[in-house]
Amino acid sequence: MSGSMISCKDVSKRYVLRQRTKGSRLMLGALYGGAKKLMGRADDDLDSQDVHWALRNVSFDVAPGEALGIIGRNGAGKSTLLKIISRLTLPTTGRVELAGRVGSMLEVGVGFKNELTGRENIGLSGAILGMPAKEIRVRTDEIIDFSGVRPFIDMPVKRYSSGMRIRLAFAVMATLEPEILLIDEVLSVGDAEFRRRSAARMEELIRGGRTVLFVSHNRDIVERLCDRAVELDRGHLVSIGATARVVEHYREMVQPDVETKAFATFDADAARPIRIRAAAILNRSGEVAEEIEIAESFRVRVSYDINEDLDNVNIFCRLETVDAVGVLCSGDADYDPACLGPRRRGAYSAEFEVDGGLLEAGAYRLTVSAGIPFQKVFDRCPAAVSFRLVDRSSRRRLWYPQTRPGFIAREYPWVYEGRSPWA
Amino acid sequence: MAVEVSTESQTAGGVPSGGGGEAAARAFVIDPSRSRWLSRIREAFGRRELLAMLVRRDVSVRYREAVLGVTWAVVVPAATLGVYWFVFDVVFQRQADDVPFVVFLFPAMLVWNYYHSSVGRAANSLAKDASLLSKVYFPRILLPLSNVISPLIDFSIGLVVLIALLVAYRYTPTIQIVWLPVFLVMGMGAATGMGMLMAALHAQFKDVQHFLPVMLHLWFFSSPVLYPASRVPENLQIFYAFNPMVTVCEGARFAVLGTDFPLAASTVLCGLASTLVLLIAGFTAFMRAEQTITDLL
Repeated sequence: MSGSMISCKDVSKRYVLRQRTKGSRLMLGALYGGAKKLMGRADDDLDSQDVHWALRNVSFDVAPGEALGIIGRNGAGKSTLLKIISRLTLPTTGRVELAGRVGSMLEVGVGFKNELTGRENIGLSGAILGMPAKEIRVRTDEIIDFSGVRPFIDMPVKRYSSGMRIRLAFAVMATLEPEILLIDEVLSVGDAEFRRRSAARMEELIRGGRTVLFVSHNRDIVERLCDRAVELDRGHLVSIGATARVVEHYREMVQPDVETKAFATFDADAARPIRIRAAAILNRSGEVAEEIEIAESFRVRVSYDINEDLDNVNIFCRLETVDAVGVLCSGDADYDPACLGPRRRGAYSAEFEVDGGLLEAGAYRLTVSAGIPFQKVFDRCPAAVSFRLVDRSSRRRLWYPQTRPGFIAREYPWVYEGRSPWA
Repeated sequence: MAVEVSTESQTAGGVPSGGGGEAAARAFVIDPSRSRWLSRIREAFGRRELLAMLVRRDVSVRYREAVLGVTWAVVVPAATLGVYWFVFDVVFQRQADDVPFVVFLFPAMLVWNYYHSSVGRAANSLAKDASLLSKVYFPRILLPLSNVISPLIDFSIGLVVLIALLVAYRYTPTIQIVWLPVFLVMGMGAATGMGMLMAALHAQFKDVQHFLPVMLHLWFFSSPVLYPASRVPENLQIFYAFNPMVTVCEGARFAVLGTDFPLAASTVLCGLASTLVLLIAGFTAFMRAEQTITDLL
């Protein structure tokens, strides 16, 4: 492992799934099983179905000062890998070599005791995380300042709001300065101001020459902070290399999983004042389309029934990415407040057009709701339809084959003052 | 049907490996092959600051919340003593070797209470801090160890009650009192062994929580707390001697009351031997269980 800080060699982890009904976790059951074994009637041969490989022959090296991102879907083995490297569990086979002190940030608030004061918890949590007592004493003030809970520091933590608790816990953790740092998605805690500070501290830690393993679902953060990345899928390492390339591979692999359905209908329901009956995504030619070129415009069509005369209602669409990030909202009374006026009963259909070249490639879903703004929701169809924006024709696609982070796909022309460099 | 996840490898280890070169000397290897006990003991020793922290945590959490705070550590043994005084001195009118019964009882009860709460808390220590175990690594043995140390606080407070009691009954301790720490250390040894053993078992078998109180209850009556060891029939003494608490309880009484030492040397030797066996068994079991605890809890 010459030169590398972390070296995983053929690491596998096998879990045995046991049924509780067999009673094998009870001591009497174990004694009974042992007795049976002695009498040569062992029946607990491992059925291959009872075995789950959380990791299978995973090997990689991390150089000193490198930040390695780990991405993968749920259950891909990311957490198991971090658990093994932070010594919480042992690999079934293979080995990991570490050339420095490991600090792990797997969860905020490890070892906090509600009955103890904030100050006492700093000492306790610090000691559990492996800080020498002297260092904790020296840095206590710094920790208190970073957390911003100084007025409450000598109060029991159970009196804290959950935000204060998390801030204090994070502040303790952020003072850790191990040579190898393991981070599992703990970035977004506290209020906006604290989030900004903690994200800055994370970046400082990651960029501060430390060796970092960083697990996150947020591909953008991995792309921003990590030099290289590893992609895990069902326990196997499927790609490793420059972050942008691995993230792109991951994106492509994940995509087929997102089911798209660009047209949906819903049964009539006279009990509701308004009932949404159908939603559809239409392409430029007016056909229902699951895939739309990002450069082209598309239309969102909604059909609904009004079952009783109503006032002040609107129909509302929320467009979001598959990661549930809201991208665009539009209501049918946005453009003209007069539309909030009385509506007569009947069946209606309406649509709006989203211009081409606006939204970035990716999978999207649309939630449609109907109601009185700020007061009532009469009907709501979450993720009623879903579709994908694809980029096969944009100009930058010709030379930049990857998806960029962000939601907006606009291509802006750059204008040079005076002389251009190509002249 | 509930499905549980557990791991198969029972013995395993992760340990700093020797070797030339700066980086290699600090290299740390995690693999499932061996359990390198020596270096794990060294590692646990290196984290003694954390052990102190855990003891402090136990003690302050325990007494901070109660309104009367530390007073409870006095009230509880005093109340127990009162009950025994009523039952044995008043109801049964029992006299033990010319000594008032409470005075006879209390030294042995102090060490027994220490033993009882150490083993009970140590056995439960891993389950209690399960959330900690699954989130951060530290030598797990510190948890049962801290739970064997923290009841010493209760023991010391009990000593104050004992002194008050001796004063009330006009008893002056003799120089023999210096033996008390010696027998206490033996009790600690037995408690450590038993505590580690039970903690290791508890991690794997949930029925320890049902079985342990019963066992400790039987153990209490198999130890000379309420009666002198000499009352045990001759033909049972051989088995009796292997209970380390026989030596510990009689020893505490001998040290505090300044009486003659009532046990044969062979009894003490048997007690020491079984303490040692408990320590080794407890340590072995714990070391084996330690590495798989997270998968079991």
